[in-house]
Amino acid sequence: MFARVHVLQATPEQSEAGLQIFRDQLQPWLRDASGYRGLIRLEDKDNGKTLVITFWADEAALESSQEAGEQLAELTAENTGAKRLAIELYEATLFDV
Amino acid sequence: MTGEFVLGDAFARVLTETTQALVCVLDSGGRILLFNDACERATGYDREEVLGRDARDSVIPAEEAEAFSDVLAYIWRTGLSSPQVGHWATKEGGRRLIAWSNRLMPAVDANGSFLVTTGIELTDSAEQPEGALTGDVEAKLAEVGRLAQEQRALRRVATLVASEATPERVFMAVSEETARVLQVSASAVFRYEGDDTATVVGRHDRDGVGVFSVGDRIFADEKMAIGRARDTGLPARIEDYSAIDSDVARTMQEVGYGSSVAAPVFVSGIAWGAIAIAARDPLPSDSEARLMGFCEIVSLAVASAQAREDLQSSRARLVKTGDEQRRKFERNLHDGAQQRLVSLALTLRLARSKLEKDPDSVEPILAGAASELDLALEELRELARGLHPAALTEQGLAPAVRALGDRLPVAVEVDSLDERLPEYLEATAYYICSEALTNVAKHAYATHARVSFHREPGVLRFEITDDGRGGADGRGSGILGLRDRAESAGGTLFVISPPGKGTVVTATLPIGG
Repeated sequence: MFARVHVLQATPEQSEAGLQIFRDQLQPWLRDASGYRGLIRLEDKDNGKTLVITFWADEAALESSQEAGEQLAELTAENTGAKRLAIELYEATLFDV
Repeated sequence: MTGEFVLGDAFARVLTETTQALVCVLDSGGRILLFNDACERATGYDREEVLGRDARDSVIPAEEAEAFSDVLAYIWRTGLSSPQVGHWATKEGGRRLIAWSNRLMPAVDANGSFLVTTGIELTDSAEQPEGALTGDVEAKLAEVGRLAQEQRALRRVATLVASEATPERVFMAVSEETARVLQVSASAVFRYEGDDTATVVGRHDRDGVGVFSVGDRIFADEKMAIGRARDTGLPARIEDYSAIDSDVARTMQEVGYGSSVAAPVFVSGIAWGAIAIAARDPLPSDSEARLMGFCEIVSLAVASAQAREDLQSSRARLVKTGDEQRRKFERNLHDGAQQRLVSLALTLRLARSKLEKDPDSVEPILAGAASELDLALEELRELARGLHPAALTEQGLAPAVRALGDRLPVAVEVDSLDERLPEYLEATAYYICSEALTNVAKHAYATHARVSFHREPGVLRFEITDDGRGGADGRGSGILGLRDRAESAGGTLFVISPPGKGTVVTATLPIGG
């Protein structure tokens, strides 16, 4: 399993707007993407630091979704006004959920 | 010094003149075109008396004329061989009993075909004292009874083959019937494995000796009758296993078999296997000839099972190709047009949110949205063309192929084809051209390709040629897919692709019917 981590800085209002966009536009498309295995959003409510992590079945799926991931993340941030701080790629090596 | 031996006309002539077997060639009307020395000896007719004349006016006895006509009609209708046992009339009015094999041979100019028949006289087989058939009534009756039994056995097995029974069942039935007809308690059908071995695929074991069961793979070298039959392509016999030093020979003796006879089964011209019988004492000398009739039927069973298998795998490939194409189509939609529309939705949402606070920034955002929309539309058009090009429906086959060629990175020249053809035919031809041209663009390293159409009576023939590197694998999935397409429309497709000399794909599709 591989992961793409979007590091953002967002206010509570921006987070709420992001959730709306995710539900309306992104989720239906993501769910049909090859190798898509889910998404987690982590927020630090004290300072607004936010991680959006998408999971991909293998490296090929991670790579082939890279361009779309960048583009849609950018458009979403422009819509919500959240700041994009970084985008990072990882391999998930342990799960206990 | 030895020159090269060629299996050609001269050989055929020598063989025809020297063989003890009767060789006779007929046309579809039953006229005799070739009548060899053995035929003359058996019937007393001179060649000149029968050539060019209907066989029913000379060698076919009146009482068998109708059966003869049926056999001719069957062979020309089905193109299949039909082994027969029947009588020929002599010039003096006598009767000769002959076991016939036959096969259709296309004329040299491919204009019609001829029936080549070869026969072995059963009347004078070594088993029979001279004159047994004509003299001793009891012997005659016994012989007739034996032949009738053989005919019934052949018919039972042939019926099984016609009912598309599995080859395994046919092999078992053949083993059983050969044992019954040849009055032995052990018989088997073997399949050659391409080395020195053969696998038992049918077995009759009335003595219950328990060796050579179905599935056993045994060593079959020249010390075995089945090995000799494979090596020579002719029936073979071992008179006495005690004289042979091999494990299989020892096994044969241990279970009580002293001799065996095997006859080869040919499928598509290749020695596929053999039918063999075994007995304690040396087998009668007509055993080989009698086994041959069963060999023809086994050959037919194997060939028709192979044809059914080919058809099934072709269907499976077509279904799989269809599934793969739908899957690819869905992927292309998702990763192409759908993704563009998601971005477009987000872009328009952004533009709306900026209308009041920052109206100046809206214009470039909308311009971006418009070009995104253009790209999405172009991708959808491309996909739609892949499903079924509008040009095919509107303008016909040649313009649609031309339009396709214009989008490829290879110069494609397309002949015109003036008439419109049935929709399904245009679609099949279009997809064959489309896939063949895509292959040219992807794999052939060609600079130029050409598609030519030839409208012939009842068929559309077309060729896709390129000047690329050739060497396409005729068994590769790409070409199999093309062939499946052509065959599913009742047509044929051939690929000629010598390395370095380009590729020619020739397809022929029947029109109507």
